Amino acid sequence: MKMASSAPLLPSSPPSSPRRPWARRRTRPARSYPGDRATRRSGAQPRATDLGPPQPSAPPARQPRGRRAGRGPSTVMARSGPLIALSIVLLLAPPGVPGFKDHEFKKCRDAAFCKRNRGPQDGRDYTVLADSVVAGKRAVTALIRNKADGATFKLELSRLEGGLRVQVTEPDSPVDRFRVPDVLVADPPAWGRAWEPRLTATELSLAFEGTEIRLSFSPFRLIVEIGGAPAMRLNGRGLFHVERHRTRQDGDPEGWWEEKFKTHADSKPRGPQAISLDLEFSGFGHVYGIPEHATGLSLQPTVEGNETKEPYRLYNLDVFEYVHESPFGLYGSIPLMLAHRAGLTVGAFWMDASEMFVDVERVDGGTGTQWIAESGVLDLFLLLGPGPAQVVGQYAGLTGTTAMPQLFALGYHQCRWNYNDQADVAQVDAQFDVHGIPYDVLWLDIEHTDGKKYLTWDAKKFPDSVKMQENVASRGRRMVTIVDPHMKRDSGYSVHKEAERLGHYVKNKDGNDYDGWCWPGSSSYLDVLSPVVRDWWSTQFLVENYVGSTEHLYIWNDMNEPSVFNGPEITMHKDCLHHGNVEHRDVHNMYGYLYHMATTNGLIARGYKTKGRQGDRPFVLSRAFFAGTQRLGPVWTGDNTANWEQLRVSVPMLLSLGLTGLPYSGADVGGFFGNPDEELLTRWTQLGAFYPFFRQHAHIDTKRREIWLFGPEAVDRMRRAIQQRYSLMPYLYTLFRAANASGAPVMLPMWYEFPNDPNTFDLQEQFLFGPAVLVRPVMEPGVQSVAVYLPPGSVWYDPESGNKLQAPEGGGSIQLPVTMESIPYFYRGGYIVPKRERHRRSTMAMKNDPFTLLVALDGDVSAMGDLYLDDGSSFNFRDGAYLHKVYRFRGLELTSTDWEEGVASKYDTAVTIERIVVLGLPGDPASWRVTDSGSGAELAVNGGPVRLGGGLGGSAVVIRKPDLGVAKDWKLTFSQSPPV
Amino acid sequence: MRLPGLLPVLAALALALRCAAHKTPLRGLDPALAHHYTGRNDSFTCIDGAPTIPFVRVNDDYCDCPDGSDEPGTSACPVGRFHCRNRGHVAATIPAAFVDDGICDCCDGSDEIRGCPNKCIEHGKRVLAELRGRLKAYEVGLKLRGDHIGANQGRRGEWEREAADLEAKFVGQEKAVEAAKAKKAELEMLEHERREAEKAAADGPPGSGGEGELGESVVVEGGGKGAGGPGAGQGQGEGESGDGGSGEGGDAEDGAEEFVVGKEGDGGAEAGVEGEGDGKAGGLEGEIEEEEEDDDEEGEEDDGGDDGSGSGDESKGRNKPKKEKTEVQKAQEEVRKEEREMDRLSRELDEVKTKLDRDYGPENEFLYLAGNCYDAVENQYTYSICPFDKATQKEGSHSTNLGRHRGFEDDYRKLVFDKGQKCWQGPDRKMVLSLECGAEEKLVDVQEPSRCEYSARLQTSAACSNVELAAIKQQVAELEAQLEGHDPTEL
Repeated sequence: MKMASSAPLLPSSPPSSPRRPWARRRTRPARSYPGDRATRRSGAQPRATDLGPPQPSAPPARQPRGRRAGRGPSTVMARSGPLIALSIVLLLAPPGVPGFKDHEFKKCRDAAFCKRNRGPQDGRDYTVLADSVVAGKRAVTALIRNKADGATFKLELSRLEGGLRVQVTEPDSPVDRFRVPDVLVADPPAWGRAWEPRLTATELSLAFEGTEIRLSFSPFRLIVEIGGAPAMRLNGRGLFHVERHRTRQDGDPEGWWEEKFKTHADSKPRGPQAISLDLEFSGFGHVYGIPEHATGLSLQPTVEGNETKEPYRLYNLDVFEYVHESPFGLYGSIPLMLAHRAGLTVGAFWMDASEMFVDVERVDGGTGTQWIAESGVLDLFLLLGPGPAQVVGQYAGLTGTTAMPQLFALGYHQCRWNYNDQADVAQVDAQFDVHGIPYDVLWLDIEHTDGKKYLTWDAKKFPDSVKMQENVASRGRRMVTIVDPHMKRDSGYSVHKEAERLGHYVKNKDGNDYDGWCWPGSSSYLDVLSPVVRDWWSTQFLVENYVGSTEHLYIWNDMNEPSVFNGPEITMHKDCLHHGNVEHRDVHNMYGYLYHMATTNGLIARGYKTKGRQGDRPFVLSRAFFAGTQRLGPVWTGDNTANWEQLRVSVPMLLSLGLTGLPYSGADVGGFFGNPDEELLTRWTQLGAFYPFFRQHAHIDTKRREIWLFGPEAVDRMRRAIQQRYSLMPYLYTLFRAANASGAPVMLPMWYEFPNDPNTFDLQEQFLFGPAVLVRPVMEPGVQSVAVYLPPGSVWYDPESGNKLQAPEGGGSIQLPVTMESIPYFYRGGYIVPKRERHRRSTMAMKNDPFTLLVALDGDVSAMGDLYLDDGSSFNFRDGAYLHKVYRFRGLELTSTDWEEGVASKYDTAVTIERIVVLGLPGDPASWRVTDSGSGAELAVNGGPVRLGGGLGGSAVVIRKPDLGVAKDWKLTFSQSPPV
Repeated sequence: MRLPGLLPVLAALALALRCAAHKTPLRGLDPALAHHYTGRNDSFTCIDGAPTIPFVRVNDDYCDCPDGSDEPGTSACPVGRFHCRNRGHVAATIPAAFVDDGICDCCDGSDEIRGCPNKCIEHGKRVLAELRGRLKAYEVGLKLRGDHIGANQGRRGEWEREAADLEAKFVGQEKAVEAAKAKKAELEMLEHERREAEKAAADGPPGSGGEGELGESVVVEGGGKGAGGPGAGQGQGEGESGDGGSGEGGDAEDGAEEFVVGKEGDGGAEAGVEGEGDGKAGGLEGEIEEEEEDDDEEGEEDDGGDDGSGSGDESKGRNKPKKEKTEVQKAQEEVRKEEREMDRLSRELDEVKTKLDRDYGPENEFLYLAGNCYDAVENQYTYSICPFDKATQKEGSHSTNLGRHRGFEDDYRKLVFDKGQKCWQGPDRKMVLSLECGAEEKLVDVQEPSRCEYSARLQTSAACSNVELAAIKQQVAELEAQLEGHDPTEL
């Protein structure tokens, strides 16, 4: 949701510690604001404008800190010294302050481990000790030695299904390096079929299934050849390096045992322990992934000749008003990169949760990458494809697939910081029905709590939160409250007291409970690395423990990078200590994931406790993420801004998440900061209707932006966009089932479906919503047309007119005229899309509605699609309580059969198919006759509109009310009279 | 599945067939449209004109008409409408989207084929009680409104007289200014002639004109401080106007302090802007400007500027050895005095004219609210709204300007106050007051739906209208008829 920094006021009781917190929170009187006279009078608290790092010794009243949203400095001062405070603000305000504070975040040169390892360095001379090689059928071990300093490491190669695991550990070290737990779904010792090892004096070769792995001994190189050509090369450029364990010596270089950034010191008692990975993708001109960055889909080089830019950074951070086209780290990290060229896709996943920098460089015949992690071990998974779906599947095999969401969670979500009180909630909820806009979930941000003590309610604003939730639920909708990992250190807060008593908090380097500053002021942070703490936290969500909650309430985890307003780079100190004496440095990037996991498990436990086997699936949105987050719930791209650049960048950001196994994601529609005008909000809603996770959200300082505030014309447009998403809900739910089963993305880059068309490799202005729908959102103001690229041989249909769009010979762009009503999307020839076209107010209200099948034929007059259906809420689908039908149109027959042959469905429904719309049949639609092969009955057919309610007549062949059971197998036969 | 999805379909179908056969109303059909559904020739033509379909396709749970008219009783059509008869309450029409969706929308429950409790009598009674209450308020309110309109006329008359009076005074004052100017010109002419004569006596040649000017300027400096004085004095006067304000109590203390901040800040802000060369400083500047404006207002109210220039004169005078004022100087002072008086009259006249020109509603019915303030307490804040003047939020001794009078909106249903104190990081504060009929003036329901944009409702007799009264009366009559006439067995 938000980041702290625009918040000027300190919480009501400032800490006595000399380390003055960043004054970024906005605890404010109900109706006055920081900077107002009112606040100045009553608050008499310091705050201020951003002047860089905190000044520990400065007197608080004069100390301008904290930031305001995008406007540069402001003027609020303590009553005691307005003149002085003001003049300080004016004198010290940095020139041209944008919202994003670039200088607050580290660059490679500011991080000692990156600086000393980036690019070619002395002291890297690794060889494999030939006589140490032990080659088994599925695993190989060997020792590698750095001849420069004699350090020896153990190398392990193990065979995986579709991949290779490469591990480098330090056997002689007296200290265990941290190994990432709880990410792999199962520890895969060695999967797949055995390989054939061939050992010579200079190399080891391992061959399997068209792949050959060659380990060269001197120098140490690992080459993966696929189909006879090199695909990946490890240490090809000699940048590989592991910083061995060492004890402190006089004269050790600077940055080994301590480093500073701004005013923050990192004590680094364990010294240097970085790892540099040198990985070349041979013959690949495009690499993707390693989210989260607000950059383009295809990763641009960070090193070009002698020119170096900032490397991509993976370090989960609460970045205030992030900007697009920047490689800095955002809220989440997934160290997975994909490389693609026509005919082959491969991937590399380094399971490491410490801070990481990644350089990308075009090298002869491919792309060179260097990954530098601050600590941990090298635990690298090379994924061998050969196609994008296989790579994604191989990754999902390691880290898990997308959790199956409840149906409601795919609806439209309405959020704002904040809906003020119960009356406000009731009013917003009612307005959706007044304006006929479907929606499913209403959200409450931090102001709903009692003093930012999560799991509590502000009794004045929400005197009867249970009744409020039940009222919203009476129309089939749900609510979400925010719960963040920082716990207010308040002796009157029972959850905190218990956590403190049980020792459940992260410790500072001296072993005391870490005390950081966040929304509530002085806060501690749950040590979710400990399974015991996670289990304890999970129990907090039981209805009896979370007072004022109901089973209709779900959760939102924000600020879980974790955000620490007065910490280095607004996060936790790296020398903090977790369960098992693990440094925060080692686990930083997975902290938010583990917290998300504990919360998610809490909701699962709640459902099980209240409803047993019928208990519902969890819904927990998280801002921070790591490899494995897909198993828990959705993420969003954090605190974006209401401008066109950020609208545009949301597409590659979400596509990148989809490619790296985390498809359930969205961006705040409208932009969190700032005020979108009608055009921007309309376009964003039209795009957001195709986000896997679709939520409007806004900062507290912005104007209200509920759709109906923009007038009837805008309401019509945005309602249509949302209705269209709801009409595609059966298709979307089926896409999520595919994601759940195989890890497939929901939002796909064009190249994922057209992997042999190089024109698609850089495309990010258009994308696929599942394989069957192409979306080319309008992402520029005031345009009359947009260009859409159609790959060679592909056929598309306009969803309104049914008109066919044929790709130009060899593929090419066509120009589409657009109006404000336009949501340019197309059905793909060759696919069958299940829909529910009746307008309803929520997903629950659609449950008994009949289906429409949209059949979009390709050039061979054939098409295929599927429909997945279950109760939409429980885990019973895991026991087979679902319906999964496959539809095929081939040889003028349309059939419905079970997706998995011979698996009897344990889910039954009498719901029928009310319309079948066929696009691409030749001739006059009325000339077609359709017979139900089962009953022999002839069905009513006419020429009709593609969309229900799309007007009179039309070019589509429409079968009227066939009333075919959706659970049934059936066959329809098409013929034309007179035959063509 | 608790309820098979086919059930509503079959039920709707059965109902449709039954209706066609028995001429009982079709489900969801608005009786006003019944003439379209005669079933003549076993066909139905969509109300918009096309297509024509077999009558069995009416309410068969498939949408055939683009206008949705073939499915009044199902959810099949995107634009369909469902009519609830709601016996015991008032009939209603709901979107087809709400039909058979598992949620009871009509009070008679007819929108859900699986059944909903009939709550119409209960609802009807409650609504009737509410309506009767409103009816009473309207009746009282309308009576008061009539009284007020009469009184408003009187008040306008007073203002008109006041304006006429001021106008006359102003005309008189214009003459006084003319006279003073004439006197001054005459004296100046005499003085000039006297000096020409003196000069000619001293040395005639025109080449020494420069020296003569010098000499003149010396004299003018001594005697005509007015030329430089007011300028210097004005600068200083601005500086002191806040102090002047501070003596007046109320929020004077704040005013004083802010004033100082503002002034200092003003200079600083300019420096800041230059230093940064960046629009980002705009917010800051704006905030300070806002304070400056406030000060200006105070300055205007207490005539600080003029007083300042006067005191400037005096203070300068005190620094120099006192000289006897010349006749010309006295005449100049007289001119300034008369001009000030003329300005004062002009301002007063403007004020009255503004009041007279202002829109108080089609019948001036809102005029009597002018000059009054209405308060409401919400948490620690007291909101005060003075129609046609300003809206404020008070907390203790501190007060925040939520906006100045802007005008009516939405056909006199809303009164808007805007350009209030700028919000930190946000817009200028704004208050939108909804005007509702009430027997007495009462400010209720103050909210801040969006940051620094406030809303409230003012119940006032001025907002009562005969048209609405008639509508309420009709509603009451209808409801009474429904409730009295209903036969429980019918429901």
